Amino acid sequence: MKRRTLLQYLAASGALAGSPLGFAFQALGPTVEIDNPLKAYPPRAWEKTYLDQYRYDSSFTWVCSPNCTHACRMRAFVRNGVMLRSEQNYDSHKVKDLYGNSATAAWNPRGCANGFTFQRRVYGPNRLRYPVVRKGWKQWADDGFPELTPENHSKYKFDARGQDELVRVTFDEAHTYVAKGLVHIAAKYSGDEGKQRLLAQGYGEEMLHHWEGAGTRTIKCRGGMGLLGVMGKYGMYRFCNALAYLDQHLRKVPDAGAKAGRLWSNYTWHGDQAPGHPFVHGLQASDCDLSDFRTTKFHLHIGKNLIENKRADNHFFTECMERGAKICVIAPEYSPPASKADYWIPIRPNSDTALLLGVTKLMIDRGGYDAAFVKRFTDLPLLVRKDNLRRLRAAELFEGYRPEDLSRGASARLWRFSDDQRRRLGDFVVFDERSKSFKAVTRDDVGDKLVQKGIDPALEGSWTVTLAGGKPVELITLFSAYKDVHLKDYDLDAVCEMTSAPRDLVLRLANDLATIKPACIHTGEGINHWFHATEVNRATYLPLMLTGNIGRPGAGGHTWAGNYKSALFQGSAETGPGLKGWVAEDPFHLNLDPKADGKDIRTHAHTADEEPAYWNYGDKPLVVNTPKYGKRSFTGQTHLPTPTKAIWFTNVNLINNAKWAYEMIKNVDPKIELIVATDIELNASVEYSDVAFPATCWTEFQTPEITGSCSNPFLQIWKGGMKPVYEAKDDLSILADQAKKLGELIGDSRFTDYFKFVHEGRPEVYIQRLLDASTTTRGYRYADIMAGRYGEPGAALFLFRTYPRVPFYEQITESLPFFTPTGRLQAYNDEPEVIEYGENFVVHREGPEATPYLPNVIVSSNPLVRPDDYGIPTDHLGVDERQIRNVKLPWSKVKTTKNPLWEKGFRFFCLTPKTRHATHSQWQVVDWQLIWNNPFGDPHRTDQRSPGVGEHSLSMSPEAARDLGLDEGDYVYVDANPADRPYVGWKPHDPFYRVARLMLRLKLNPGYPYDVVMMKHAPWIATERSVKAHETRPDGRAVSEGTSYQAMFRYGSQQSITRGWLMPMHQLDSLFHKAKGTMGFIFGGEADNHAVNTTPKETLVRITKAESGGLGGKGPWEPTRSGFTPRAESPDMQAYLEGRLTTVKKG
Amino acid sequence: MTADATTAPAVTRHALARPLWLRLEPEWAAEVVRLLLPRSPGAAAEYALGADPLYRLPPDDRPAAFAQLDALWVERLGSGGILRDAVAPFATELGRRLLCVLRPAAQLEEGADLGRYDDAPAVRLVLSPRRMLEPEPALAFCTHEVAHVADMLDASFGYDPHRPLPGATRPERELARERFRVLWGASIDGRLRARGLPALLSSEGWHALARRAFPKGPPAGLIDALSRGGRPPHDELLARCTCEHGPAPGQPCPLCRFPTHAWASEAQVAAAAARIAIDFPRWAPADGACAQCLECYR
Repeated sequence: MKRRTLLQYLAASGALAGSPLGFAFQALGPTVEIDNPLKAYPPRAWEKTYLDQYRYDSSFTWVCSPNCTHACRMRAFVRNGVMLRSEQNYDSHKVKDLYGNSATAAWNPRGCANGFTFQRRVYGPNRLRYPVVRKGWKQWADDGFPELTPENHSKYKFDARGQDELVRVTFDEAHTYVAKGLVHIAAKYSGDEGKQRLLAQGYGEEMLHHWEGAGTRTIKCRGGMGLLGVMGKYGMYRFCNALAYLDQHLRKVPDAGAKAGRLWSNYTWHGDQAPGHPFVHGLQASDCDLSDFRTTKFHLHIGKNLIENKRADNHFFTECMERGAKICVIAPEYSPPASKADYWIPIRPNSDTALLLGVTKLMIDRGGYDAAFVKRFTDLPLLVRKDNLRRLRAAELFEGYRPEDLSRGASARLWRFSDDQRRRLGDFVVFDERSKSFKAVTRDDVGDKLVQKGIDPALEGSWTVTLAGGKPVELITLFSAYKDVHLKDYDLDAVCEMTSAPRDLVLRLANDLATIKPACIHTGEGINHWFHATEVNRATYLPLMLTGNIGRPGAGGHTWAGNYKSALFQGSAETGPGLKGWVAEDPFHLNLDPKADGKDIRTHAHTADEEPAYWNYGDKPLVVNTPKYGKRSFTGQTHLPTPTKAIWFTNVNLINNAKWAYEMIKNVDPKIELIVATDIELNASVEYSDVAFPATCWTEFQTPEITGSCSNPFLQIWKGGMKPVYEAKDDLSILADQAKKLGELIGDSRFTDYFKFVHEGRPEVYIQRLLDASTTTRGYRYADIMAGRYGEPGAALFLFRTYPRVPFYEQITESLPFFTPTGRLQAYNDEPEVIEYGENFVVHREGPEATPYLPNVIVSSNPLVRPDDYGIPTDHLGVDERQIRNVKLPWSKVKTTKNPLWEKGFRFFCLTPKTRHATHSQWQVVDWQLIWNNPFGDPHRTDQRSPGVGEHSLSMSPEAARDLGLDEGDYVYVDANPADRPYVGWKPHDPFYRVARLMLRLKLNPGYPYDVVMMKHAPWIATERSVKAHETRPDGRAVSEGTSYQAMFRYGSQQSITRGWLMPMHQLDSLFHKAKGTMGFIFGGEADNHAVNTTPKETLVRITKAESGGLGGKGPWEPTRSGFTPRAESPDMQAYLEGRLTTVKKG
Repeated sequence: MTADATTAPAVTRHALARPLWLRLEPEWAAEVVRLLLPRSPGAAAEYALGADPLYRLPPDDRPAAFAQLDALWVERLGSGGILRDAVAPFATELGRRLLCVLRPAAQLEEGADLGRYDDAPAVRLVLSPRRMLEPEPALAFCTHEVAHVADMLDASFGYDPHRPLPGATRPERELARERFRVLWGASIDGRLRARGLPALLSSEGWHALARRAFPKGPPAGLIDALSRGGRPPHDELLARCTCEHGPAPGQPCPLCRFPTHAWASEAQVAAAAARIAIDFPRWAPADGACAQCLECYR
């Protein structure tokens, strides 16, 4: 009898009556016998509750387009009008190009936790819900823009924006205020009167070089990473070009003379560009499709973290392992990619150049190079004059030299290489082994073309010759100059000392680079964020140039940081102006025909590029009063900024992410008379703006947007699939409406016409023009793409020569010149400034701040390196002077020098990489991400010192923490050079100092070397309002009153320790390289191409204890107390780490 | 010190003068029962006999039934007696207030405070159920906490919850709060001992806590006086909590007001004293300065 049946029987018969169990059992009722539980039992209605979680009414695709480089198409699911969730769309394999080529299915799936949690931003508490105007600024405008005397500066709170109120207004009111402000500022700073005002305000004469009489040139516009939304973000630059109408209105100048505003960069401002790339190959940046990783056999990873920072597509990196490639990682810390590597070379921060020069020496000394490639595609056979360090020009050597006609050559045919450019650059000279004579070579004489000329250039040799003018000079091939002279400073012993790299691993790396093909080197912002990144980038190419690892699948030297690539919409003589047709349509020759071919759009940029780095340096260029020459500008004319009086930025957290942010807020921005932000969220930049417009987000767009990527081949067009949650408008509409309002104010309808098709609700006219005018998209029809002709509606492939895209494929396979003066990959630069700075050869330099040694010293004894120190003493501590002082010393002497800052106790390099849980400042304070992003996430905020449900942290080695008396979880101060950080002129009693000094939690990480700490970049900074909230709210949350701004710090931010730098090597006028947006060449500066990169890693910090980590500041943090943190492991934790918790019994 | 020790007679176990009005949070009671049942032989089976039938009830009726059952078992397992003994000595001050016992979300939340229950005045005791595993320490803790509430209700103590903590900055106020906890706690334990009631900490224990809260040392003799049963009123206790500025680890720097563990040396301070005094006329070198502030005045 079954137990259940027995109980039923007993109950029915009363057998239990009176027993002690009676009470318990008398309540039992009959049970049900079930033969098939799945059929009849248990009731399954409850399952509907769970299944219903995923029920939806409709779905739509959208493109997640932050600055991560991926641009993943997601699918959102909507119920009752609410976007519930998003998931990966799995559409990559369906996407085709015009010719039927399709993308590999290996791209699937695309998308990451950011896309999955986007709905928490769409509906999150930080949305900017309606237009706002700062109360003080509004009053200033309402008062008729009275003169900003010191009293009025304070009255209208230009010096206390962070303490002012943000007042809700309508869109129309906001546009009216901005229009009035722009007109006022443009008028105020135009003409002679404007000039006198600017000079009286302390701006130097050089700041007026590009001002040219126009007040509009004091207006700076920035469409944040414009490629992320070509219409709405790059549209900011179109708006800026329209300011030419305003200048014409104010100054009554002819069309051609009208000046518009200045365009602030993105890629270089973020410090993302590899600034050395234009020096080596002439291109803005080299990057392949990430799927190209699959074809490599040796993947060298330097200062990069593809695991954490390329989340959607990082599988291509990890697949290197399963596809048999060898991986080497060079980084100071044992990083996530290091854990995937065959070997990891730990290195002193900022010494990568020395390591690569050492590897290069080993390769050359051991014959580990491809001589044929070196002769055909590099400048190493070219001759250099020992007297002036310039390359020998053919016209200097050969009497009556008559340049070869190159009008049919590749340079002129493909890139419109002009006679003027050729005259300026000249032709070059090699020593021909075959004829035993000197031969002239042009920039077109590369690859097979050199062979066809019958020239076999000597790699090694030196000669004394008499020039055409009769002057005797000594010559040397660059190969010999490197091999026999320059690299002597970088022998293995010296390099291991300079870099702290293990000797056997340096040898192993040299051997691998010399013997494995294809080999590639990947770098990123880890490298590019150093002051001397130019040299690292150049050094990166030396092993690749020696072995021919360029222009082949799986090969190359690539940089990964930022979705910068406007060059995707490349203009050419054949197709039209490319992106320029959108951002710089000639405002005085508008084409209002909706059916016009993009090729026929006339362009004229009345704007001028400008690097925000100058704003970030106190709104001035690098002009130094040198002991030897007096006042001297190290900012080339092509780079010179103008005074900043108005800024409008969209889709960027400009102020939050500005290096030295508190200096900007305290000392620089008070001189700016109008700051306008367009954003989807109320971030720190909005907190410090005068006007803010709420923009729709990617899922809310009401009109189509278009994007592409530097790391994949997908062309993406999309619209949102839901109504805007609040009052937000498309950023393109905001721009168009602002232009219209300006036109209304000054009576010029051309402002409206400039955005005609936006006002008519069909901005796709501009998208079609863009497709028509670009080499990579011509032939596509907008309607076809949106109809799904090439796969998922809205998606197509860019028309690249190869899939995966391989940079310089044509150069190698078709013997086309690179984009350098010589047409070759360059190991040497002979621009006059470069020679003066001592960087004609690739050299290792210590940083101007982040070094234990003499700041900025050049490690070399090469007599062909002759830097100018401008008479600046080596003990001068001025920041200007440290940047420009060029002192050359051999390593044996360098290692005896000292950096005074290091001696004062600032002995930690501070690395500031991207986090895996956010994209720069986006997603940083989404609750889930804030909890995951650090070890201190706590939804309950048990410790009410925490600024939110999580907070930022600093990683440090346990040994260093022990020596400083720190435990994991402690709050620490991180201070940098007190001479200028957190801002110039800080004082202990200044309330703003309390906002600006950095305090955060400490995390111990045994993966970090002793003198290296790490703090992820772009968290939401402490502001005046957030600090006030933290100190006065009962719960201690750092949430600004009135704005809901959530800071991730109690005090300060990552930017408390950074500052602006102006690297002289980034500011040349003489650098010849490819223009980024069109098939042509330029000399000197161009935003995002050759311009100042920001370099946040150039800092040393001192770390001191602030508060104990335990609850309420008492005792250690609980995981430390209970034995779960490094260096404080309990016996159980130690057993776990050693694998002793589980034992297997044998037998 | 202005108040003398209270010398009320000790109250014996279960000798509550007035009926106890006790309200247990059901989850608290359930947790206590869960923890204590295994310690009483046979109790688990007996509890099951009472609990099993409750599963026959409609789901909506079960929580109340379980709450009733668990309250009964809290009594049977001895925890009810602990609560009664903790309250009994303060029957006069508490009057007819309910005692409501709740679980803490975190250990820091433990403690007693004034509250209301169904619009009736109540004592709110947030208490970790785990404490009931050790009856004597539990009684000491509960008695100590209830004594705090008794002070709050005693007009002579002059308790004012709105009186601000001394200190200009949050860290200073946090430190003052910690000091106040120590001083008040020492005073209560002193009086409990004088009445023969269990105290939370020994006099030495309070001295140790005071050394942490007052890195430069608490005012002379204060802890001893409190441990002997002294009871200064609320405002006087608070006045003793003011943060003095001076170079002690974790103290606020007198210049930037950030708490610091990195004080500049006396020699460094002396060298910069004249420059500091320009910005801080009331500052004296003996006040010290943190190393970072000194960078400003080198």
